[in-house]
Amino acid sequence: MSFSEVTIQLVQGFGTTALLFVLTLVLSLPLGLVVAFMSMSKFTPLKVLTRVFVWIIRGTPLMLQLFVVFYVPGLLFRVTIFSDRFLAALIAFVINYACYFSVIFKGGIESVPRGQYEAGQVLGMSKKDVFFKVVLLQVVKHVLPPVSNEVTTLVKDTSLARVLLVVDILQVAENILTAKALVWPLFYTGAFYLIFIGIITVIFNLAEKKLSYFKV
Amino acid sequence: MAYLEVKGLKKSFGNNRVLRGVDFFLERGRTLTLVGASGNGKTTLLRCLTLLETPDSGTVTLGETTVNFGEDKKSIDSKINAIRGKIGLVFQNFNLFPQYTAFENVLLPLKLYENERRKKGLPPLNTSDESRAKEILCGMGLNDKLDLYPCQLSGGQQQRVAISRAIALEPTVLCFDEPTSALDPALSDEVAKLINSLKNIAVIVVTHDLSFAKKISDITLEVSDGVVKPVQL
Ligand SMILES: Nc1ncnc2c1ncn2[C@@H]1O[C@H](COP(=O)(O)OP(=O)(O)O)[C@@H](O)[C@H]1O
Ligand SMILES: [Mg+2]
Repeated sequence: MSFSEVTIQLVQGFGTTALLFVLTLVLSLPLGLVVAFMSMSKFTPLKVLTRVFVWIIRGTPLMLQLFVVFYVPGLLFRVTIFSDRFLAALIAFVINYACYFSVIFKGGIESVPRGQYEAGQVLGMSKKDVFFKVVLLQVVKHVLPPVSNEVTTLVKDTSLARVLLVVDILQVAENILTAKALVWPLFYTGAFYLIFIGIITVIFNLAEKKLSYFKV
Repeated sequence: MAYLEVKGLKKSFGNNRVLRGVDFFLERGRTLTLVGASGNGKTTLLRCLTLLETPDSGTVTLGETTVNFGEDKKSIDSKINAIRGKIGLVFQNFNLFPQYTAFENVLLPLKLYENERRKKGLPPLNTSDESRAKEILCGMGLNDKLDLYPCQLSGGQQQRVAISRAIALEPTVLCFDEPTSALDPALSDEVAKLINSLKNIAVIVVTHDLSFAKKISDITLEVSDGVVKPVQL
């Protein structure tokens, strides 16, 4: 197998990896904000339930959660809800990452001093305006570094989807190893991860720089 | 009748009865200073007037509107809207919005306020928001600071932005919590001058600096034991 043949196959596998990454991010970031608000709810049962759920998700391996999402609906209801393995993996990833993000967002929201809300209030601003026009950007600035960490971890975590037989880039490389007894494509995948993470790091650095004009 | 009148204002935090029946009145164009030991409830009184805290009972009259805090929540809420925005507050630490320039700090609430007025069918304030924000800031001597962020301003400059932001909404009552405490003592004369320059506004200033109080007050009240009583400076 030539270098270019391997590259083409790996790129295809990386497509799956990148798709899982992008969809997880797009869904778990807003869901994380919702979970954050739920975990700060004034309605105690909701708050407690949310916090217990987040604790369970953060306290158990993502790999276990992948199995749970894939097998448990079938065991309980005798139906295979997720015949699509990619979808099952995506759901597990979204839930897992939404919980991690929720903790980060909660910290970010709580980091904004009360005085900011109060200043908005005495200036006659609505609660919605105070949140979106005053508080939100301060939260974003605060959470950017920890979110950047999680996003980098997510790139590497996508490889866990293999336990549900989702064919990501690593799985492709492993298939080549089994079929053609070639080891080097396995190491070659590292380059894909590194470049991808490099791009993400640059984007986050730019964003952080863009928000460095003010101090919170 | 006086423009602002407070009667029997009470506020407790749990068992801590901080305000036990505060009575006073104030005309527009006059300055009232509130003095008294730390923890006596001066900030709490300002927070009740600006509705950051809801008093337990008592009345606040502003011009034609009287809010009776002993009434049910619904009738209080309907009247609160009429006085919200009319009573401004300059916080002890200013609470400027860090991501906005001095100009934007003044402009943002002004724009949102104009939107509210439009929704209610009220006529807009006279000049355009932008020129009004600029005019007020320049009036405070901040001509060359319009595009600076709060973190680039000195304490005294931040305070003048905070005052500009408050008076842009044309409040009829303006409160200051310890306006000299976060500043270089040498600046207290300037702050006094600034406060004395406010026209046609009822001004309430909390301070523990008696010589400062003397420079600005028409009336001085001491907050102690949950009530206010006149003192001679
Ligand atoms: N949000 C609050 N919750 C509970 N107690 C409060 C709160 N705000 C103020 N207090 C109490 O009210 C009293 C008066 O406080 P404050 O009005 O800040 O006094 P001052 O401004 O005169 O120093 C203090 O005993 C303080 O602990
Ligand atoms: Mg105080």
